[in-house]
Amino acid sequence: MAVIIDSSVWVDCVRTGSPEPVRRQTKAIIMDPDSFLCEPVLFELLRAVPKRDRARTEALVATVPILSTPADLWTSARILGQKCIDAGSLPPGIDLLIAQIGLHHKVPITTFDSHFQQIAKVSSLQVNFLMRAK
Amino acid sequence: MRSPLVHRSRKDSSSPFSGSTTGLIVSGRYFPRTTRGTNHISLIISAASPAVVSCFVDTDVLQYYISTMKVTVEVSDEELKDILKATREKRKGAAIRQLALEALMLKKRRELLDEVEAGKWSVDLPPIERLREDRNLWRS
Repeated sequence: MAVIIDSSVWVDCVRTGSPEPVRRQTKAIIMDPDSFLCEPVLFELLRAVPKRDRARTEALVATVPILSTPADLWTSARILGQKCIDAGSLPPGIDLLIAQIGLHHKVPITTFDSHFQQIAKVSSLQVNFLMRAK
Repeated sequence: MRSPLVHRSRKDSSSPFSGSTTGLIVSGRYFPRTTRGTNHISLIISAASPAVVSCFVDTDVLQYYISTMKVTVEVSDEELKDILKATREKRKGAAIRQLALEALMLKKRRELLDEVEAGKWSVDLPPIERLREDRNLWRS
């Protein structure tokens, strides 16, 4: 079944100094043939990659298919954010964009970020919330 | 229904010669159209080849032939059935092309991730928590 791999998983996979067990855990997640990217995850990851690491990181993410971005993403993510704030939570804007793409395609999100659980409380978002391996 | 996914680096696999009955001659080479009715499937793959072409050939058609080449693969009926089912493609060539490209992408992904796991390279990134706290306008 298709799944969006959140930036939190990607960052922990390739980040210098990432603990060995976390690196193994995230590698297994990303190697899933059903894993997908979306534009906000690509943006969040690649905008922070230093020049010397850029080519290899871009080569790595190029091996993962991208879910299309819905035309009404900004509007629907805004409404999703308003549902969250009405329920007392304030997830980061980028999380709302990623979550909305998951909702649009009916695809779950695999993440280490608990904000997605807050979003799931006010929507039908499916979240595979993981604890980092130790 | 086709999947709503966008695959980068994937060229449109539909042939401009769908339904045509002849091939094309470019620089003295004959490019036959996909054989139908058998399991000899012409797989379109990227391979730039310099070619001098006759001026009467449509440039869009030319681009297709110059930037791709065909190879023949043999698969059994049973394998072909499985391939079509797995890829949800209706056309044999497109199904095999999709399968081959997906396998290639997975292989590349594994190689790069193996290098990361072996410590051959990594990226100087801040933790995700720091990446996501760069614009906390509403948090005081």
